[in-house]
Amino acid sequence: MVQNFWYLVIISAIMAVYNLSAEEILRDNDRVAFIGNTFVERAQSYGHIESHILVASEAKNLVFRNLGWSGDSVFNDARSYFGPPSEGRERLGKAISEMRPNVVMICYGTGAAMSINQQWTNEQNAVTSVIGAGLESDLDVFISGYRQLIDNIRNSAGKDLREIILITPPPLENLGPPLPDQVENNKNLAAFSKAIVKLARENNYKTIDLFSAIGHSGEVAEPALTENGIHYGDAGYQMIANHIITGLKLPAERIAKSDYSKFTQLRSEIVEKNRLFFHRWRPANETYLFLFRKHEQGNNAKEIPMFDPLIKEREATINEIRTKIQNPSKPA
Amino acid sequence: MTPINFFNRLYPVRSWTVPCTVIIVAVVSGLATAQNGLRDIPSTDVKDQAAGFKLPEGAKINIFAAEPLLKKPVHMNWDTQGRLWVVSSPLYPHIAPGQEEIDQVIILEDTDGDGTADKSTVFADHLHIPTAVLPGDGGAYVANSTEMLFLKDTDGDGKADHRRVVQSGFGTEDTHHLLHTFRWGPEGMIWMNQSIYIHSHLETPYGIRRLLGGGMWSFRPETHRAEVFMKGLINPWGHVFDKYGQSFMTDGAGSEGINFVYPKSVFRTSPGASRFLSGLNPGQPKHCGAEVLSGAHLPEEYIGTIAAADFRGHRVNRFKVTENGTSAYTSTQVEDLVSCTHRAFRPIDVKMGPDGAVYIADWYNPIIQHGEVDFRDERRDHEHGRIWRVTFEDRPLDKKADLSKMNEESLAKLAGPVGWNEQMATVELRMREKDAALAGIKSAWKTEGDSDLKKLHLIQASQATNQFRKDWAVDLAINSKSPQVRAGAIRAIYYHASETTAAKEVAEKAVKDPHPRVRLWGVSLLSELPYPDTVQTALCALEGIEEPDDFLDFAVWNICREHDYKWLSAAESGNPFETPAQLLYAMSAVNTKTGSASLFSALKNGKFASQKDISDLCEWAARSASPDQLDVLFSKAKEKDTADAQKSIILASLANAAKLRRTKPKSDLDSVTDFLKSKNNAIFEQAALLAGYWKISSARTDLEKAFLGKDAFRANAALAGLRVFGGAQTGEFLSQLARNPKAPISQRTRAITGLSKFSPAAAARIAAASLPTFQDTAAAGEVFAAFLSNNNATTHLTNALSAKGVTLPEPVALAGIQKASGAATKPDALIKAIQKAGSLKPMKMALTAEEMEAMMNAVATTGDPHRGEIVYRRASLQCMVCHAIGGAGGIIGPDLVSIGSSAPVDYLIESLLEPGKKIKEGYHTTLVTLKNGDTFAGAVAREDKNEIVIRDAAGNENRIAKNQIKNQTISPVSLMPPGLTLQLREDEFIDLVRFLSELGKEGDFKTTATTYIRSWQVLQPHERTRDDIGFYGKKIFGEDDKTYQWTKLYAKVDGHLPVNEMPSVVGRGRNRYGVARFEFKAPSNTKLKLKIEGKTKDMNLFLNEQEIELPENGNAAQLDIPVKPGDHRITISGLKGWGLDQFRVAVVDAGKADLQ
Repeated sequence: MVQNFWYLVIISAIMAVYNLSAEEILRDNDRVAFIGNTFVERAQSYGHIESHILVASEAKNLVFRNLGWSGDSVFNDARSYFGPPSEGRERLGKAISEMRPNVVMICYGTGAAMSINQQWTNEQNAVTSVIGAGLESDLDVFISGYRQLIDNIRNSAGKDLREIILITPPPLENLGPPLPDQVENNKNLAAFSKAIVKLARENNYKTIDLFSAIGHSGEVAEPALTENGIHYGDAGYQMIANHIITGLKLPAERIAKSDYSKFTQLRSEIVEKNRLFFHRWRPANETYLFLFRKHEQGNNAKEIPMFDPLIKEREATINEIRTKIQNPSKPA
Repeated sequence: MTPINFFNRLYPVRSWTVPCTVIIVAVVSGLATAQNGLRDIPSTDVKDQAAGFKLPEGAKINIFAAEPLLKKPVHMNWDTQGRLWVVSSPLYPHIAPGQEEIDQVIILEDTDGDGTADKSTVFADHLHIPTAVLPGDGGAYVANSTEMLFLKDTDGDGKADHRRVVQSGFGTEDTHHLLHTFRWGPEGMIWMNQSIYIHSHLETPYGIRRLLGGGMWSFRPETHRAEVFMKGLINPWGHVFDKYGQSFMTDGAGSEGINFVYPKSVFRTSPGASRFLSGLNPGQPKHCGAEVLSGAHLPEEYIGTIAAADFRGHRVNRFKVTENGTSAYTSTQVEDLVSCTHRAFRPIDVKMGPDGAVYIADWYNPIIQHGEVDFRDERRDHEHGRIWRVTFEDRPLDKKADLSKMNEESLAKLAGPVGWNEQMATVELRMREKDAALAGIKSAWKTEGDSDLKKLHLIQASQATNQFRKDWAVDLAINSKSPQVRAGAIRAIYYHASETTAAKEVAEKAVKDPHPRVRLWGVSLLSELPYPDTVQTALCALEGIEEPDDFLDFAVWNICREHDYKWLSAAESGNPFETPAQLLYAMSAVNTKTGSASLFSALKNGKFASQKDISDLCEWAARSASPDQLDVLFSKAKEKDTADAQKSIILASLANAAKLRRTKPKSDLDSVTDFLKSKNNAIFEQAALLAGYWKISSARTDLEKAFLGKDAFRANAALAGLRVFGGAQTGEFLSQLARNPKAPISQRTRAITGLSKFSPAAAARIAAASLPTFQDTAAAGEVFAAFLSNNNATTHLTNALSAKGVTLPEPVALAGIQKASGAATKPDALIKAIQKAGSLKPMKMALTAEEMEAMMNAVATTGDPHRGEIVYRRASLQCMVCHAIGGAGGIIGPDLVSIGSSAPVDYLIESLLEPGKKIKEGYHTTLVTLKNGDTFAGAVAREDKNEIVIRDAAGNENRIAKNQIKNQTISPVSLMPPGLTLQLREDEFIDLVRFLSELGKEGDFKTTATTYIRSWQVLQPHERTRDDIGFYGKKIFGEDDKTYQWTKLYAKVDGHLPVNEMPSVVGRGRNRYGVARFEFKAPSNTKLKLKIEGKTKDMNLFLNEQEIELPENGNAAQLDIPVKPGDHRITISGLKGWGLDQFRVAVVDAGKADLQ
């Protein structure tokens, strides 16, 4: 990775955006939860963000759990399965209370900002305020939902929760026809990002302003970082990972200096750990395992916690590789 | 081995007859040797499976591929080179901790063209329960649990090395419901479906799209536009386009055969829906996959029929879909393509092949499902899987087009929705350079000018390359002579509605089209248009439509709702529509008060006065009318000239207004007592309710009199009235009766149940004191049921029965247990109290593993399915009240038409003993608890924002105002009450299980493609036939005498109606008759061809009152019956006791008549 000149240029550019101070936000033994929609969920199968943090941070024994869910809203629509969004909030609350995170990194906004005037949530009190009501109304609903979401997270996490970090959504790209023009949506997303930063400031949460950091000209990056104008691919997540570590006050140079093959190995172990955790916290067949048909096949739910030791095993491997990367001189 | 008499343990309070114990001993001793048979695992040898096939004449079947070339195929599709892509999932139903994601995409090839695959390539692995694969765009789209992937081989080694997530956010709540059934549409979109438990949330470049529950998506890869096309169905595992591009779907758990779907159509089980459409074949088997049969290899009669795999019944059914003059179609089941006696043959997909043969994917499993059979059940097969190939002897195979060598013009000429070459030409065209593709399409347009159908296909081809020719489509939609082509062209425009300027003109013309289907598509197109008067235009589509057309009506109803913002504000100051009826239609659709002022002024001016107008208005008024408006209706009911039927409709509307919204007319409420004097039962019933809701003291005497009277209907109606009346006086009246040991039992029962509603503590004490004296266990059951319908009352009864010294006789206690253990509220405390008071040991319904094996063996060895069918048909067992077999029977529970071929025997036994343990999807009980503690359990029949309608186990619909609901849950209790089989002897139980286990298997208990009349009405004994048959003769049976009472009777599985199950109608002298009839409609002059089977000498047949002669001798008669337009009935009387034991009626050809 050291060889990559452009990579260093990008990193320097990123570092210029953030006002870096020395103190690292993460601490030893931190459990970090990622919460959000499609953007967060898909990060788990790339592993860039976690691997970047692990290599750049000095905090020991970090544990990451990706609680992202595609198509989710601040009201937790996508997590609700058979019920209203409130059941989605319960499901998220339960996952958080089991995990007891010290740090939560939250990213919402893309779906709502792209659905101005459409019904982007089924939350009962919000529906009439979002259909055909315009940006301002959508934004109000979004921010009040966001507050409620954070309250839910705080209440579920308990006293161990130390840091709440709000990440603004990455900008959209215009890839040209036949894909639709995203200039308007990007303007909306800018307004959402601004409101998120304001929300954070008012409540003393930290922010990582991805939207501003990446830029929002609506132009196509070369090569395009998204696959359809909204969803980032491998290169995109790698770039985003650098923004994230910079936002966490971590030195990005460590990434560039690390051993490429070990780094890749670390990343693939992270992806595998995430895959196992996916089957653990959001298994298929929930209807039979935990919901209204559990009286039929609920006995199979006993298998689900059996993923825990497998996840632990992977994390041990991840830590071993991490140590090797961070201390290249020491023999294993 | 010690013999165990498990039935004695099972039902501790009943004793069994001696022969049963003898059977048990015999059964259990044979256990050790019968192990394999009990497991019911057939031989996995391909030859053994092949030996089980039954094929139509001239057809043959060969194995195309089997393990090790593939395992567990879930879905398949061809690529343009003629290679078969299959997703294979040994992981299903659930990944185990530590297990790798081992599922694969496999490509099968027949390189030497001998009809069997000789090459299998793993294109992709590390997949997690993939449920669909669709080659195209240089790779393949794969459904992989929460994600839709695009996989591509970029280096030409035959394996995917590029993996991209195309969409994520699909639900995985159930792994046989996952995103599935990918298919390229003729317009170049990917069509994909999801099932009932799946909730999907997609972030698209056009905004968030959510689909909760079952339904179908369309997705265009190049634009990333994903849209929900239709909603509902349970397991919509099949979807085909006909040659005009119309969509038909099959359902693997619904039982309505082929479903005609169109934009925004909604079918059963879609969450929150207040209206559902039906499939075209109610009561048909359930299907996975669908394909339109095509090509020159297949014999003519197969072409155009839809093949659908009945994986439960080990067969592939076929359906013929025909026009019937409405916006939808008639679908008729025809001869099966293939069936198999091998129990692991599980056809789950059917596709035409490049050689014109039919390919069938066989998932291969002795058991199916994982909701009802354990995830880890060891009988579950994870190793096998087959593709079968059906061809016809002496018919040349079709030639696969060499698509890669064809130029764009030739591809365009070939492209179309039906046929292997035609569909693949579309897929190939998508991969060509865009300008060249369009040039090719344009050249083809010039030469194909005389065929409107070909023009339609070229329009679709232009869409397939994402270069839609709007001008062509608009021209064809307006000017084509073929209604099917006009409809197809409008569908093409539908996807591009907002960017097609002429769309408005097309829609305005279409809603007045002579063909209802064109109207349907016109309304669909309107629903996508922004113009302010779309609803006004859409309502024209219903003008001049004489025959009921639910599909068209649904579309219009839906646009009234979807576009309500366009007309609601105009309706505040007047009627925005042409007629008051249109206004009411729109108002009813959205359930609004807005517009009612102009409606009632039209009513006053006499401009809105037909019977239908008033009935429609009443339906609306119940939900929305103001007190003033209810006043107007009440006055109408009081008018002398108003017909009785109309009166009862108005009164019912007033009663519902009182019940749902506590709203009543402003004046003259006391005059409701006049209606209590009516001879008409329906009027009395509603008036009694109104007297109660309105608390009319002067009505009390009439109600009490009716309560004490002999007429049970009126007594129950009076009770319902008194119950809502409430108050101390009612309480006093009821409690005196309840306490009176001399009062008839029916009165006491009514009194106690009534009292339980508003004085539950007192009622409970009386019940505890009087239940011990009940001889009639049915009456005791009613008392328990009344207390169980309210949580508060349940608690009081529990307390009263727990008091010292309360004892219940065994039969009463049993009746109580049966009601309580079937209650959705799970009243454990009450069950304990009844057990204690009745000194019952806790009932053990579950069998041990050993007992279960013995029972299964008994079913296999001694069970007699024919005797079992007689048990099944017993009225006391109530099976037919809730369940149908092939559409004949109740609709509360699942249709059992192929239960035997899909469910293992242990599952059947368990379901009979413990109905709540495994519940079929779509049949869960919703439990609604009101703020006053009342509970309603059943299926959600429909709901909107103000109201929910719960259909209970008896089929009654309860309308509930949502603002009275405290909570609503899905209860883990089945609608099927436990203990129904308690009354059976063990041999009867075994016969019953055997009968169920034979349903759908090859043999006597499989419904055939022949249509028999299955739902009959039978005549109850009546004084008129006794007194007047001597004068009028047997034609008296065919009369439409309104005082005749007809009850339902369903045919046996083989279509026969047993004469001894029919009520004995007295004839001349000692003659006794069974009389049965069925009704039907004819839209125009037509001919009905029936085959009557039975001893014709003892039968008489009438079309309405006209006798149609049957032959003097013989056992069958073929009749050609000309019928005129209108409603008709055919009545058959059979002389009992002279050798006529049963008869059946086969419909050879229904002509245009509607027999459903």
